[in-house]
Amino acid sequence: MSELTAAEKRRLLRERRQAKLAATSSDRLGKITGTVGSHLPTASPLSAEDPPVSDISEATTPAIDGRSGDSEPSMDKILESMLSQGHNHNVPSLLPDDFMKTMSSILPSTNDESTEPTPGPESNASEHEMQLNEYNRYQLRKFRLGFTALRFVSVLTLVYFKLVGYTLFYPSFERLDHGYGKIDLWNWFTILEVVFSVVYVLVYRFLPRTKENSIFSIIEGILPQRYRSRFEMIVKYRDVIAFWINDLSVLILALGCLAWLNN
Amino acid sequence: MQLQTLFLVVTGLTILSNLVSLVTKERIQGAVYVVFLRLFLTGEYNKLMKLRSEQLAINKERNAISAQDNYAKWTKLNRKYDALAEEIKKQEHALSSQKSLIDNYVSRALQLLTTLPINALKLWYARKSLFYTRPGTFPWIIDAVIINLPFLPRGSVGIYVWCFCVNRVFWILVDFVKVLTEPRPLPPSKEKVN
Repeated sequence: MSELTAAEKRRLLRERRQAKLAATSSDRLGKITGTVGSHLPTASPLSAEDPPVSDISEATTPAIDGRSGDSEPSMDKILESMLSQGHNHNVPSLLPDDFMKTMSSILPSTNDESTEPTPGPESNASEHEMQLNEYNRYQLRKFRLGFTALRFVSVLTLVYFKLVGYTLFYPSFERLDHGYGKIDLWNWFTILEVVFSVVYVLVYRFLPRTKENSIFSIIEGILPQRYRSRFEMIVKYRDVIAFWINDLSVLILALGCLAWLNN
Repeated sequence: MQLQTLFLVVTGLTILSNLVSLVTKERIQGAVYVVFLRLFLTGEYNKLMKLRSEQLAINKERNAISAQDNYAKWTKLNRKYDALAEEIKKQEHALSSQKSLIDNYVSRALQLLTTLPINALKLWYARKSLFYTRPGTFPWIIDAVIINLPFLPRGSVGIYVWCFCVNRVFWILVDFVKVLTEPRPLPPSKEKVN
């Protein structure tokens, strides 16, 4: 065989190249677009013969019901793949990766355990704060109840010493138009209340601070800093008034029991 | 109604209503249901208890053997367990319809015993004094403005003020008992500061 000329060699190389491209083009295209077994035509439009002339009226309109053929993925399939992207990372994406990441972060992912927050130092601190708040709340509650019990005992002792035995001053179920003079029950009651209130106001600053979920804590959170001390004063006196109402209730209860017993 | 009787009834109803709130309606309904079962539906209740104890025994036996080694026996026990579960479910369903009826009756009874009469008494006797304090016991401002609400004769205590006082003292005492009986929270451990 005579040696091949350069032109013949070039022709042979070209033919081999074209044959190789023709064999592997569909795989390469499939890798690029992510579809396997693509039905897109691989032949160059320039090499194709001119299509036969056809009447435009014979052209079919695209399907309105969404059956646009297997070549184009339908919107339903795209949405389905979007929804499953959070759970199945093996399905090739039809849309760009960053868009998919955004969508999967928006959509809830129930099976993804990696999104569970791991306990860090911040959560430990908040847990400690909660425990401390609970403990403080218990201590404060215990103090208030103890203080109230002391006041109740004092009021009942006062009623016993100033009223019991003085039947003329007992309450009654019948209307009484005149009295028999004054008794100093109310004066002593007032002195007792003043003493207890002063003690409470003095002790207040030593009481543990708690974060109560009440309207007062909401108001305190909204108020500017310069009004907070005044608001704290109002809260303090709210407690004093509450104690006073409790003591008056006990006094009225004691009077009612005396009226019943004297009946 | 005489004032003495009214005083006693109002006090009793207020305390009873507070006790019901304390115990909670659901617990009362559950207790009444158990008593009803024991008294009137003894047969069904005993059947249910028997089925449950059988199921428990089968479950214990099934857990004691290995499914791979004694497959036939395990499967047999498993089938029995499933069949018993079905029967228990049917029995519980039949009894639960009774329970909802009982719950309804108990709820109505509690309303008739506590809420309705106390509200009716408050409305009916709103302008009637319950008892009178002697003039001179309290100063004018207390006699004429505070204890005689709403606009009762001076020095008298009405049904609203009385109920308020009873409620207030009742819940303070309950809180007091709770603090004494409930387990106290432990002080938080000190954080290690690096």
